Amino acid sequence: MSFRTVLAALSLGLPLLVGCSPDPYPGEHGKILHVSLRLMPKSFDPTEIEEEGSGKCAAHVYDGLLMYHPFARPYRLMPALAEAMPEVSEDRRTYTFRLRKGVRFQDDPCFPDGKGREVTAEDFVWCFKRFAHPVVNTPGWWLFDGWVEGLDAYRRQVDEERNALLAEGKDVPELYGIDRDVAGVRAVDRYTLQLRLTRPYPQFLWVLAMPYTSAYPKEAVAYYRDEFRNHPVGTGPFQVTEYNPVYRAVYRRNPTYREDYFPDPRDKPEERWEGWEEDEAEGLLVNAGKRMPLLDGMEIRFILEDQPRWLYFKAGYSDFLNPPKDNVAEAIPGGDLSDEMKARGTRLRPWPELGTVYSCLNCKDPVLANVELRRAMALAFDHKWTVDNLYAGQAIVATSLIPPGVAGFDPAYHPYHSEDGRPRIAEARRHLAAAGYPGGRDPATGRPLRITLSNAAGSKTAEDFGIRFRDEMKELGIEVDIARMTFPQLTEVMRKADFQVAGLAWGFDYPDAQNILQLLYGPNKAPGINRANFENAEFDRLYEQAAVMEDSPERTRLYVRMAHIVADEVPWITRTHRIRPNLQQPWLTGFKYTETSYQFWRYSDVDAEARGRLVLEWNKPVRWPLAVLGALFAAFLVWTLNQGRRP
Amino acid sequence: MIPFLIRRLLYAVPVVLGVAAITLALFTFAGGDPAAKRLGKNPSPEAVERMRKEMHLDDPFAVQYVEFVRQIGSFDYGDSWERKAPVRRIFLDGIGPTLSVSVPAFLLGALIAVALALMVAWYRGSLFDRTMTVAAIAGISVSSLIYVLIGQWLFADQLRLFPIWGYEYGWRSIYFVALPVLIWIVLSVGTDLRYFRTVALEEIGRDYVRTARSKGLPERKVLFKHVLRNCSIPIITRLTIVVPFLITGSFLMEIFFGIPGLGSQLYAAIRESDFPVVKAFTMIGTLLYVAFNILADVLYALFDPRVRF
Repeated sequence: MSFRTVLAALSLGLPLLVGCSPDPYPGEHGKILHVSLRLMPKSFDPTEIEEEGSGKCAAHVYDGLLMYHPFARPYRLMPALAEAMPEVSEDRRTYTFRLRKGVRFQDDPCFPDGKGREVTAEDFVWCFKRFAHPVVNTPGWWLFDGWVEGLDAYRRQVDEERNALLAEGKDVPELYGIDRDVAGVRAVDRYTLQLRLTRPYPQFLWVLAMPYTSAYPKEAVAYYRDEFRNHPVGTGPFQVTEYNPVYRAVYRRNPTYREDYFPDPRDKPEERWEGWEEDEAEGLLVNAGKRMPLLDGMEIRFILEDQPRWLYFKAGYSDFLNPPKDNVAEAIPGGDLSDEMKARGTRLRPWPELGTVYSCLNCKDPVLANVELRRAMALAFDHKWTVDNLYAGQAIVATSLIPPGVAGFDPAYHPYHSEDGRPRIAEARRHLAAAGYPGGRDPATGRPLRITLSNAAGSKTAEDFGIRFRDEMKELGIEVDIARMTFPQLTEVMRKADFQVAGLAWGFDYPDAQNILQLLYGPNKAPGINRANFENAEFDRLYEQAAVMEDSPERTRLYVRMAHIVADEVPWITRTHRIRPNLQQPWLTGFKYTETSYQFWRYSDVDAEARGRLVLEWNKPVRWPLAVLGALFAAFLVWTLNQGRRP
Repeated sequence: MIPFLIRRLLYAVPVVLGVAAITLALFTFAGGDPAAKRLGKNPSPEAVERMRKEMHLDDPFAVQYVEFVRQIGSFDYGDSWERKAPVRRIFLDGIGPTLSVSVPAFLLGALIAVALALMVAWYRGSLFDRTMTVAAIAGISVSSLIYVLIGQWLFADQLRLFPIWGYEYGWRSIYFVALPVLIWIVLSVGTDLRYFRTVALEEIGRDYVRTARSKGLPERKVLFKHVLRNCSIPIITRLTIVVPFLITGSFLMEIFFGIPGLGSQLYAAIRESDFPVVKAFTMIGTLLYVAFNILADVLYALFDPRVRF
């Protein structure tokens, strides 16, 4: 056999050697929820869970006192480890929680016999104190800062004493002082927890539904130390069995999970919520009344790039997905599911995000302190273009800083937005002239006014927005310089109030307008969270008034007024409220998508048999093109090599 | 040889120290404040200050530099800010998956490139030679991202011959790394083929090849015994210099195909401004590069008796 024949045979045979099944999890048993995330989690330690990736991964391992109802909209809370909603004192400062009895921590080697023990009120007290401990330095402290009686003093004293001991060269335990009593966090008895506030905090229960004060055993913190962030031990329905922060997290059902049932509004009227009939009609409640969890496990893969994440969903390897921007047109052309998706039985459940995308104008800047200039800039914005091009239609124009679904949302008042989101250039020019910059020229220099946009590099949306912003301002005669920077750099310039315009977004921590209005409260200005350095006496007065009020029409009226002040004064140019077009595979049930809380995943269920069948059907390998390619290459080799070589 | 090695090692010291200084300066002066980033949406100035202290960001540059050099010398790069795990462990976690892609891709790619280079040199000027040269140039001209995107879309999505994304440890890794390895080979063969072809052509034109032929040696023997052996020095040099890049991994391949290797670890560290990891990986890459350059020089002497130091 000649050398050429061997080569030709090899090239023909190669395609047959490659190409097996594309199934990434062949032979899988049980009902597993497969999720692909566009983020990597940072930590499973509840005190560190601040961002979406960690929140989505940890929500199934831990429970707190309260949690979001998985289906009720407007959002409402329900008891989790608490037996019922708390008793609140007359002065709205004392919250008494009765805990469920018999709830156990997940079995883990951190316990002497590997068996999880019962959760008591003392565990919550300890977790609260660890959360507040200065060494932990939690990103969630701002939500509790100054609110819980004695907690701030405990934090400060422990810090001072610890530093003094360290300065003396003494050996100090990491959680020095954690056993100290805190007046506002008290275990009344084994199953009763009492929290006492310094003053009424209307958002307090929402804050308690966040992961920061979830229950975990001190044994786990002592056993795993820093590694606790990678070895979660909680009371939730799932336990982590494998975790690689750059690849995946694998969970299995927690066999000791508490007695918990899927809400059953049909048979139990007391469990009903507004719109439950629609949820039932949509097939979300097929498991009503069943014992939880319904799944045997979960597998979350961290697929950062858009293409593989989208292809993964299309192949049926993940159970739900918010399609990447570049694939929205393929999945939901014109806002409705594509024929291909419909034929596959894919469901579309759009979810309006509780958040606002905005351009932050630094009112402390000598140029942007001019309100007429800010108004002119706002009028020149083409919000419709932003919705269509930056969000592929998956957003609505934000005429108010408060998004839909939150009390205080009033889309009707928008003096510096147009109804259709298009720019109002003529009007903008008038405001520009009133600002002292006719035609966009600075009379002091005779040159066009120059403004710098501080933009986060690495985000295509931000890059595209920057270019568009430059063009929009050019319409007014204003020149825009774009300063690209990393996110830490952007944070730093904002903390120093050393910027003019920055593109930002705020996702709500809880569905209360106070959460976004605090970003414009005067005392919160730089280095605080009021990045616009906006100061308005009326706004501040109303904010302080509303801050201690429970949800009521009166408080909503105050929120609306504050939103109107923002619309008038334009410290922000509110741009869009994003919509997440959640796509779900036909075998997934019970999944009412939201990003306000992630614990609703536990209510989902998959039909593993249907998934196995459909995935096989959708992913039949196509081998013939490779065989043809191999044959062509073999023929090419034989032919060209037979031409001989040049002497 | 020993004096040469000592000389080369001494030359490497300022290179390593210089890279360390530039790396640290970039992170210190141009990277923004990673402390505030770690404290979320609304950190208090005190919390930021505490975090800066904890991360040693408030130390003077000189102190940070001395500490960094100590870390390089002791191969102990401390703990990751983000993962709170030793950087050494993060490196060890990632090296296996990285090598499972890069080593087969490197070996197969080198084998194919050398074999093709010898063939095109042997058949120089033929249709085969011209076709392969044009294909190689065309291949080099296209961005590697395009290969990854199209390769994944075509072979994993459209033809469904490979997994789209994922990785398993052990023998099942073959199944997951097959497509990234294939794409890597396609990516590397073009450049290598052109280089090796030039080397081979130079050798084929030499007198000893003519002598070998004229004394009646079979063509195969001339090609593989005489020509290939004399081509080995530039080939080995080139391949040796590539080795450090095999260890540090490929961002693109690992991120697009879900390989939890060093490329993925580094990518995550950059996204999170996890400077200890980024600094460590940068220095490990530098040290490997310097070491393999020295090794290439040593191999030169071993393979070519004419080379003396």
